[in-house]
Amino acid sequence: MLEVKNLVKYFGIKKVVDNVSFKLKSGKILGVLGKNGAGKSTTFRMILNILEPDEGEVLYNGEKIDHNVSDKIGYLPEVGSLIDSYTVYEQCLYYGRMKSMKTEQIKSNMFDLLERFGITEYANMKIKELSKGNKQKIQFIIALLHNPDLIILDEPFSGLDPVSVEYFKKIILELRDQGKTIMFSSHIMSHVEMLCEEVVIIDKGRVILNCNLNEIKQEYANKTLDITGKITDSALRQIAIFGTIEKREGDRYIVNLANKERISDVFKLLYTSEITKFSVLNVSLNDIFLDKVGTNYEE
Amino acid sequence: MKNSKIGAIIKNDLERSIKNKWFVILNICMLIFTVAGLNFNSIKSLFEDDEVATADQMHIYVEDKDELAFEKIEKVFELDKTVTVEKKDSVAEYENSSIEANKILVKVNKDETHYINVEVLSKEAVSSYYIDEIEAVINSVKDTMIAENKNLTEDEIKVIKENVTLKRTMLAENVEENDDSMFLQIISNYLIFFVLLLCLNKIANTISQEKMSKSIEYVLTSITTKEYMIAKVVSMCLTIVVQFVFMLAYLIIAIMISSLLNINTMTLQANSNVDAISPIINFKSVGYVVMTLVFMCLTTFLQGVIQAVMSAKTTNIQEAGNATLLLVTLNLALYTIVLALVSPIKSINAITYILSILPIASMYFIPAMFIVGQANAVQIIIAFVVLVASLPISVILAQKPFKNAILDFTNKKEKKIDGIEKILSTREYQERMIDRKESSKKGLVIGMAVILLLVLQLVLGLLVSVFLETISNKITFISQDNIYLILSCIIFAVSIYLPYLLLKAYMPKEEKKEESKEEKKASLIKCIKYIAISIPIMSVIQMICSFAIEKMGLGVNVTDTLGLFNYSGKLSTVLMFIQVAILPAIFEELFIRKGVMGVLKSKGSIFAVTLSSLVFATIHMNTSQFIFAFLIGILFGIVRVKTQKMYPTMILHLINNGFAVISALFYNHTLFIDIFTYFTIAINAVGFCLLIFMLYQKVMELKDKESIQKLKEQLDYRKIKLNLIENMFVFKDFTFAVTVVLSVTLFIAIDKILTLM
Repeated sequence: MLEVKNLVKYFGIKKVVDNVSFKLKSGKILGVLGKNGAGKSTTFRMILNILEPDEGEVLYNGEKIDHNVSDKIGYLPEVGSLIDSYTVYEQCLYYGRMKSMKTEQIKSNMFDLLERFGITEYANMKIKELSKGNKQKIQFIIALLHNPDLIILDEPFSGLDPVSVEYFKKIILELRDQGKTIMFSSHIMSHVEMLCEEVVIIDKGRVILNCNLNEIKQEYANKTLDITGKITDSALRQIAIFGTIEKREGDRYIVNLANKERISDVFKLLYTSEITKFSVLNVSLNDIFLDKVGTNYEE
Repeated sequence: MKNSKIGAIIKNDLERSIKNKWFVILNICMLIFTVAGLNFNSIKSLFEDDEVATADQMHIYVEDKDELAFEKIEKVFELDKTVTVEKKDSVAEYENSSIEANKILVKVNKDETHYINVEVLSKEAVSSYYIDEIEAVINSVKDTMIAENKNLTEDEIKVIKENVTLKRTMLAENVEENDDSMFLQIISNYLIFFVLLLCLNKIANTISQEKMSKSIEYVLTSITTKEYMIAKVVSMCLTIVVQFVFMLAYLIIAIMISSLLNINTMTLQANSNVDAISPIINFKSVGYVVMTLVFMCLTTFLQGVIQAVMSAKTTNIQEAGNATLLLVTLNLALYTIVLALVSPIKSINAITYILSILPIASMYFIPAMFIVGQANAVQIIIAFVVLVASLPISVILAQKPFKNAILDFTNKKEKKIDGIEKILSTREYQERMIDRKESSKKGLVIGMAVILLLVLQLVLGLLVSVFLETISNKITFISQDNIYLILSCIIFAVSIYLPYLLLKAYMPKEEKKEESKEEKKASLIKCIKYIAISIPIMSVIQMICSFAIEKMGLGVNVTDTLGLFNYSGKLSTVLMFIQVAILPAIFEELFIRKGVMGVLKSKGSIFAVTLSSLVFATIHMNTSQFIFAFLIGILFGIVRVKTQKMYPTMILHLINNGFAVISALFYNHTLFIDIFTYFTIAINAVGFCLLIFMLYQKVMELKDKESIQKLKEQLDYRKIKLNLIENMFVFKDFTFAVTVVLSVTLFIAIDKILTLM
């Protein structure tokens, strides 16, 4: 379990990370969402002990993260961390050795991963010959090379085409199924929404939302109904007691309930009406963000 | 576990620096040079043999009427079958016509005072072998002649001719093998430089490469910065060791080849090589080598750490290369100091002693002092201990700046002021920061232009004074004085125009306005007005200045020192007028009023006028003119700002300089001077009236309340102060500082020269 406690970091006089804390249980995926310059990467760097926090601490399975624990952590840095003049193999060899791996192990793991991504032919190519997307794939491979328990991915989807993004997502989900703990950052909400169970939203160095996505969605989703059909006036009046009603185009109504236990009551009230559709609405993360923070995430 | 990671970095770096095409190329070169160097004689003889085989027969004809040297010359070349020596009664027949390439004519004569006199003639340069042999023969003939004449034996003559040998004795220790130790020292110092350069360069390159590619971020998840730094330095030191081993291998290869080549023909020489090497191998030399190696290894590590910190601060690969220059320069400086301070005949003083125990310096001092026998055991031990102790200290000290630099994050603890973040995020603040940088850049440009101007003037002036004689010898139709004047004019124009071009590149581009006829007329009248009112002001300034300068005791008459009175003749008068009046009016105005003021335009006109006048005063290069030029500069600056045209100040400048030149050039034409004086008085009077009239107009305007308000707004004290503070960043530039120092030193020097004249 990864535990981040009250991290604070100053760059000069600027407070880049302001009292950030969250927890991540093993086998879960945590998405860290935030705009550019919100302090995501700095937080990651402090978790990885590249930077020392000015205040606070980071515990992994109850231990402080130092350079021995880091052998169990895989990291994909935000900025390209590959050396242009190296070949893919040399790069893997260098970084693998940094994780106390043996040469044979590095070689076999590297080829397994290259095959998985379908880019075996790049093994002996120089980094500078690769495209941006392929570089990102190599970085991902390096992050997974030593079969880490905790995988930290900083902006893993940047520079990727939609097909590759889907592929990355698939692999991330596979990794979760293998029992790995994964944490990644993104500035795009949909990426986080589709992958994570846990979400941390950071803005200007502060955590403004830290929750389990399913739970919070359920909490929100169960309150909103989407009903289409001719509803009798008496039914409408009675439903209005449980929550607010918005009339949309045609016969569509959006009902916001005060309490999710009223869903069945509403359903019962509609038996006299001609209903063509009755569904509980799926709320987007942006709606939650809007509700919590008061502004849209993506303006 | 951690150690294995350090090992991994070292291993990786070593592999990469050895399995590298540049390493291979460098080593192939080294191998070739080592083999070639050690087999130089064999290779040379290979070429020479060919030459001799194809060479033509050489004929030497000797005219020797007194039978002095012919026999001996013949004897010398007896064994050489390619040379025939013949005696001729007279070689004069050849002298006039051309000689064939393979003939040498030798004419030997008796001489009363020098005993013997020899002339050697050949078509082109012949091998010095012949000439040397002939010279040797002639010398021995001369010796015999002296011997006969003075009744001396030839041995006695040899003694007379011998150079004096100095027999030196050192009381401290015997330094007989001086030559060998010098040889050792030179070789070892070359080696040290080579190793250092290689090592520092490699450290700089790898670190900046990993920083640039951000690979460092990944590496630092597995290892601390301290370990990373140590690993980098160690791996580079090991690379050098590998290089060393390779070099030893080349040496062995070269020696083997040379012994193979020389095995039949020159066994003797091989033996002599061994003889040459053997005296080097004694206690002292071994000690020297060991000491040098130990100190070099430790110091290389220490410098590697320093280099690591410096290269961590770089932001691109080019900078990484430059970062090594600092340390290399330091090393060169230290080596030079050692050469100056340490020698067998000098006793050591306290400074040398202290320097010798300082880390880095000790690498050069201790071995050098050891070999001349001045280092004692205590000193060596202290130096060693200090050096060893400095290693962990340097690592600890370097750790933090290294980390901050390589991750590119500032950890500077600045004063926390409430609301500072708000100020930082305002547009005004950021704009002001950019303005400061711009100001400092303007300082750089102006400073560079002035430095260029002064250096050009001095260097070109020097060149002219050196080559004046040769030039005037070639051009005969103009007198030397006039050539000098013409050249000075050219120098003046060039040395101002080039810096002006530099300034021009940094001047904001002005859009040319199409002026209507009326506007043109209005601006012309305005210009004439300003010229007219400036003339009396100029006169007043001149009067005040000449009074003040006299009172201050700086009474140097500039026209005197220019030597205006010494020129006569029409051409030189015209040239003088061009040089002193016309050229400055054009070029100085272009440089100062257009260039400098153009660059400073955005800084406000008050600042632009003041600073440009300072520069104007500076380029006049002496104190008595400084004050005058400064005041005149301000006047001209104002005229330039008000009229927005170049020609009014040019005309004013021409009038000012022309006045001085004319009164100096025609000082003995009384009538002319009289007319000239009345004329100037008249102009001044007209200008003065106009000035009074315009001032009166201005005062009348000021009675109006609105215009007073406007004036007050213009003279807002706080705004001016703020502007001034911001503008001060012009002076913060290094180039500008150099300019000031250069100007001041030149000032003092030129003042001194002027007073001596």
